[in-house]
Amino acid sequence: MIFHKAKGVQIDGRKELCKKHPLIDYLNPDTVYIPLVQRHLKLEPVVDVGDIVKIGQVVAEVGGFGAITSHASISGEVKSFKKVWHSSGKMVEAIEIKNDFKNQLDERIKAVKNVKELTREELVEIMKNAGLTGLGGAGFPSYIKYQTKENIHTVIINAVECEPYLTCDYQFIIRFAKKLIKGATYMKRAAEASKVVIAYKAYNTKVEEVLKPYLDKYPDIELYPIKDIYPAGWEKYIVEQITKKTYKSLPAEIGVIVNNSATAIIYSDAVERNIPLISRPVSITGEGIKEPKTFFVPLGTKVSDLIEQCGGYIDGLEPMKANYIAGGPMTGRAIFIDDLVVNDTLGAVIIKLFEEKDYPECLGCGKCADVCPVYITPTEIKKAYERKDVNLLGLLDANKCMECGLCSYICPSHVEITDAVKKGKELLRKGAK
Amino acid sequence: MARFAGGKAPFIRIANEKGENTKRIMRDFLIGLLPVILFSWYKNGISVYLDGNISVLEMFYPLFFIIMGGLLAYIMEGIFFYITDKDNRNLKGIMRRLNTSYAVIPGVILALLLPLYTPIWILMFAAFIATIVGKMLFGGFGNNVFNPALLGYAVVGFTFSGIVTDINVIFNGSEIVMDSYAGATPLGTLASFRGTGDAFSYQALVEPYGNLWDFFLGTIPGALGETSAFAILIGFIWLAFRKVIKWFTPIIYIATVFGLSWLIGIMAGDSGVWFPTYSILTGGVMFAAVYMATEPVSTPTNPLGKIFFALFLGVLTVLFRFVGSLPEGVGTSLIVMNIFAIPIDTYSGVIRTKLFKKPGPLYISILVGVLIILVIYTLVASGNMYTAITSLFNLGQVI
Amino acid sequence: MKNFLNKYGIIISLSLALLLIFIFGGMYSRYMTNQIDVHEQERYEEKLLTIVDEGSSLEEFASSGLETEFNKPNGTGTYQPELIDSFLVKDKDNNDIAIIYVVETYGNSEGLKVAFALSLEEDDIIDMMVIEHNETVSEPGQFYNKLIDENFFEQFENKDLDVIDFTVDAVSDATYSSKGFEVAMQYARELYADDFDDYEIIEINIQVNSVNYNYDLTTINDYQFIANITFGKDNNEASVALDNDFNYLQIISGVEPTASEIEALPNYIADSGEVSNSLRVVSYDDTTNTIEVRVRGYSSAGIIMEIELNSSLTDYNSIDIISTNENYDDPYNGGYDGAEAPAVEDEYLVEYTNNDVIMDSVAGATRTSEAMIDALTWLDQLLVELNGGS
Ligand code: SF4
Ligand code: SF4
Repeated sequence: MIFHKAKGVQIDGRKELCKKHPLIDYLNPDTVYIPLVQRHLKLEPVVDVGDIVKIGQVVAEVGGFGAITSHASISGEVKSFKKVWHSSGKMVEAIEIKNDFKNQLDERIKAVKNVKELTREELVEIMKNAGLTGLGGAGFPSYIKYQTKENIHTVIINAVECEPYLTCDYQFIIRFAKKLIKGATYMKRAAEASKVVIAYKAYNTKVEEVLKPYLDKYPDIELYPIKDIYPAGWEKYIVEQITKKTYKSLPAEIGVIVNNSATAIIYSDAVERNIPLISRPVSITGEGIKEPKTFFVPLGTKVSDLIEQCGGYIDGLEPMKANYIAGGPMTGRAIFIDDLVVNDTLGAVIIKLFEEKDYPECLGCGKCADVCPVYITPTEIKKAYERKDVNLLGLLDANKCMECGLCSYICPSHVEITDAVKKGKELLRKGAK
Repeated sequence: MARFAGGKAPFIRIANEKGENTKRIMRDFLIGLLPVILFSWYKNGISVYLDGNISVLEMFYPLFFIIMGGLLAYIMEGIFFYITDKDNRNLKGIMRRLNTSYAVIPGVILALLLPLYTPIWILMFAAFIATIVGKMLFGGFGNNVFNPALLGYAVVGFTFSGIVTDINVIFNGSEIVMDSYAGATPLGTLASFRGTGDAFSYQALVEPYGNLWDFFLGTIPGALGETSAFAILIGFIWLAFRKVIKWFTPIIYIATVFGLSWLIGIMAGDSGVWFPTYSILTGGVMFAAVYMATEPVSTPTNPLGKIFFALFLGVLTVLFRFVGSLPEGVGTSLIVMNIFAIPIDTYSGVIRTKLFKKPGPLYISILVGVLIILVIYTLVASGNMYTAITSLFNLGQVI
Repeated sequence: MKNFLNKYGIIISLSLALLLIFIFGGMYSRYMTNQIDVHEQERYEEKLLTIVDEGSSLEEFASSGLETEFNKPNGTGTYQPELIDSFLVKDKDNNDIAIIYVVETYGNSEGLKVAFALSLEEDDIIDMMVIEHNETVSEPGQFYNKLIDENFFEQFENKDLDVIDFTVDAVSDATYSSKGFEVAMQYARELYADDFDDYEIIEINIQVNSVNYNYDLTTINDYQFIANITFGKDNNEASVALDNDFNYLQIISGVEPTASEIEALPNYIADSGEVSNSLRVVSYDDTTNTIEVRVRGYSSAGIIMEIELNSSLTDYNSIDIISTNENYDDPYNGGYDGAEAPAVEDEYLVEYTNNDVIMDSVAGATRTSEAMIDALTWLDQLLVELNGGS
């Protein structure tokens, strides 16, 4: 139907910026700040100022639904509890750990012998203890997906990374192709699924190149190239492409679990050596960076350190004419102060220059409605939000919005339409209560 | 530690891309009008000049008139900005406002809607109504409920109807209508059939002006821009190709007018295809379909809404043509539908997401129901006008 | 100053631009509107020119615009047709060859505008053209349309202006329209005659002073009547010889009438009432001295009589009825004693020859009686003339 087709949009990736350099290890920063939040949950620290912590040691935790633990990503002394900028766009409490450069590992970290005999429950438990979360940006604790009662037949590894600029997943895969394959198999076992599908962007032939050699050995693993459109990395889109089925809220409904590729790589370490989630790849990129690079860094690393590694900002950068974006350019947040630390959901920091311009008002071209992957009508939601018409917001399904940002992206008049829909969604949530 | 600018996701915007923003859309729209502008210049100026019938000064007048339409709208908006925006009372400020206001387009469309010999002061008045009343007082570009050009045209059409209809019968610069035309535009001829009970005939409707091919090419009397389906078609292809307009809106609209006219023709006892063809080639149906029913601001935003809009518009056009007191079915129906664009937008927004979940079906049935009622009313009301409809019933009895 | 310009420069220039458009654009559009009329005139003249084949240009002509009233076709009074335009038509050598009058008359309704082109050389109508009309056209084959269907307009082509009966053949069901065109044509001729001195509408002005039988036996076979007329503008007098149908044969004395007057003569004679009886001399034979006369009675064939004169031509020898077609035994006519023709005739003859008396009219055979009375009265008169007036 003309009016009901999610086509997605091809966006100029600009990924070449970051692809010049391979993944660079930056594993021993001076200081790290382990944020005491995980999604919207506040974590309780289990260490005190002055404590000496080892790599992988639990430093904070939270219970209840979505219970999760945070681990020290370097060894050293807990200096203080300090507020730092977090990728959520707010300042949050964090544990400051000063590196002693001894790289002492927690005693739990050691090679696991009986990998082959681990049961499903044990594998899920490992996931939970490792504090493994979705590294794609959602930050949702992975183990919860695996606790499902549904019968899972397929695990999909999402290596699509559809947002422009970002290359951290891509470079992570190139570097740790074998770990990806292993992590994927463990995930398959954790879900008792029959196969794994690795979805990647069709034009990233390098991914295919590095993964192909393993396919003979792992017959349950399939590769699935996906068109270069945004939001091809969206869970629903990938699942629909691969299984030709749709679901309502969770892919588990139709027997599918989707995990990010970086998550799978980290998971293979967690299974084989009990290394929790303490590091991740981060792209430092954008036109405002002298030499964009992708780093493999401990969580809590200061982004300013990484920017320094990239040679700093370009000369003559006027910060007020640039955005400091935490996350991808489509869904990320503008951070006002360049004092950000790396957390589990931060895949990139982008310094993007912009020009101040006058924009006309919404001309009603309808491109936003055309492009919306969930078939809602952003302009109407905006109007309903402006009138605070909660009822209409409900009729218009404002809550369906997945905040992909496409509507604002496509808007020729630069209307902050995504923001309006987000606010409408919020109002609906509050109003509905 | 540097302080960075704020902003909202997404940080990549097509609007910042070269050639992908509203400015580009508006420029392309203007280019889309070019075939029509050129044709009307050709028909009213160049070709007559080449035949040696008019002076050079007269030859340039059509172009002058159209350019004046755009220029007047532009200047008036400039003055409006000067008066209302105290902070921007300098050249730069006003230019900035004008840059995001796109005043020229309604001005040019307005000029194209008017007959060539409209006095300049009427054009000025119409431009004032269009830009200041129709657009700026509604809150400027993007907020106007009505198509500004159409509003200007409608107001002028009502207040100076004598002047505008009188000069409407002039074929072009030199061929002043004498006896070969019944002294009217094709639509006027059609309107003269109303209430007479006569079945319309090709002889009466088409032949005075040539044949349908002339209608297609546009060599018939009428307002500057509306006559040539051919030029409009070129514009349509360009606009659809550049994705400035949705290709289906004009097509659905025209198809609706075509289909309904055909039915009415059959009811009046003439099932020839010439009548529906004639119907869509006269009275600016084509022009409205391509340049006004697709005008983004005053029509529904989402694609489903556009479809409903086009359907309603088609039915209303036929309704007003045959039943109302104005021969100008197109303009009237557009103005009416400009108002209804708002609820249609909301309804279709809901339908799009809910589809067959509650209250999708309810909304669908409301829209479709109203549409069907309108269609039936149109058919009955226009059918009544022709005694020939009785033959339909007679036929029924025979069978 | 600079300050002022900085402050108000924009608004002033914007307003100025508006004003300029208003003034110059207004002038431009005014010019265009005027051109409408110019072109309309051009097209109109072009169209008029097509009436005259040889014509290559028109020149405005100042006509006298003569005023004459004509009857309205519906008989509700008179009106003055209006002269709308007049043009001289020139050929390619710039010679005047024709004149076009565009006149507005009254057909079924007002506003019947017709152009007539008159040839200056031939004094005839070259052709005509309907410019505008409000006649009824809604009925196919009716009213105005019937004029077209019946080729009404063709009769104007090459019509001579000197035709005495300067009228057109009206089309039934479109008589008012026909009349409107006729008036237009007649008015055009009036104008033509008024505007051009070398043409005059043939004016027939004949006064019949007396009409008499020709009793002169020497010329009786050449002409049967002699009329004395006064005619023309100069009141010319003439005595003319006419045949039995009052057609002009020759001049006897006085000024000779013009051809058109000759043409018009029979009607004048007939209308004068000077000769009312129905007798005509058929022939005179000077060898036998017999005159054959025919007189109309009840039947149109009449009674034919032969009168034989004596040799000295002073009296008649005999009067014989050669044939009669009278019939007066018809009971419807009252009948005359049930007798058959020529009973009444004979009775008249007997009474005349024997008693020299012309009987009064006989009841039941009035017409026959009158015929006989006419014939005998004529004979009386002839004899008087033959005898030198006694
Ligand atoms: S941000 Fe929301 S409303 Fe906008 S396109 Fe994406 S899903 Fe649709
Ligand atoms: S918000 Fe932007 S994309 Fe959506 S209709 Fe308005 S101008 Fe078009």
